[in-house]
Amino acid sequence: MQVEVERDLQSLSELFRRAGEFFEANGVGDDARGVLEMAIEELFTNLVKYNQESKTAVMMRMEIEEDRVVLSFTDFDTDRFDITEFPEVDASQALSDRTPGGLGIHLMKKMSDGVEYEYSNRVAKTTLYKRMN
Amino acid sequence: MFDIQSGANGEVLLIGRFDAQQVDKARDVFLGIEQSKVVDFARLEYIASAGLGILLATQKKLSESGGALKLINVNKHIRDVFHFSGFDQIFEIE
Repeated sequence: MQVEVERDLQSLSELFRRAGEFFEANGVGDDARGVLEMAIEELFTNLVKYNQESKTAVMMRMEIEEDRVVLSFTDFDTDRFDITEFPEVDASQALSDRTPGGLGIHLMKKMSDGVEYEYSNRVAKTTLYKRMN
Repeated sequence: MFDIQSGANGEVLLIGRFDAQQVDKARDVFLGIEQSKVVDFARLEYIASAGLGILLATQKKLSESGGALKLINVNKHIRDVFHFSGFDQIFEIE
C-alpha cells in the first residue's frame, strides 16, 4: 500500500483510513495496529512540524515482510532529521521533573521492532518494523 | 471522531480517537480541571503523544494543590503506552 498526501495535519485522517484498510486486509493484530497508528501519527506530524517550508507531498508506504509490517515515510525535500539519533527519554523521572514532549519518538522506538533512517540528496526515509501479532 | 463528556459521577469520559488534530479541544477541557478527577478510558480507542502531554500537564498542575487524575478502564495498548512512558509511576491507573 502506498499513498501520497499533502503536508498538512488534516491529512492524518486519510493516512489512518488507508492504514485501517491495510490492517483489515492483512489481519494485523490489535497490539500491532496501536503501535503502527501511533508511529504514523508521530512520524507524519514531525514531518509537518519540522519542514513547513516544503510544498512537496509526503509518501507513506506499508507492506508485509514475513511476519512483520514495514511502515515507511518518505519526505522528498527536507533537511536531515534522524529520529534514531534522538537522545533517550528518562521515563523514570518524577512528575515534578517531567516536561511534555519527546515521548512520541521514545514510544515508537520502545514499542516497535526497529527503526531505520536513510538520507540522501534531500530525500529522507524513515522505516519502522512491527511484528504483526 | 473524538469527544469528551462528563459522566454521571463527574468523571471525564474520553471517547474515540485522541489524535493530534484533537489537542486544542482536549486542552480546553483539561485546563479547566481544578481538583482531583477520574478519567474514564473505556471508550477511548487511541491516544497520541500529544494527548499524553495534556494528561501530564494536568497532573503536574493538580499536584501543586495535592490533587491528581485517576485513570480507569485503560485498554491493553494504552496501558502499554503508559508503561513505556513511565505514566504508570505518576498516575493511579485502575
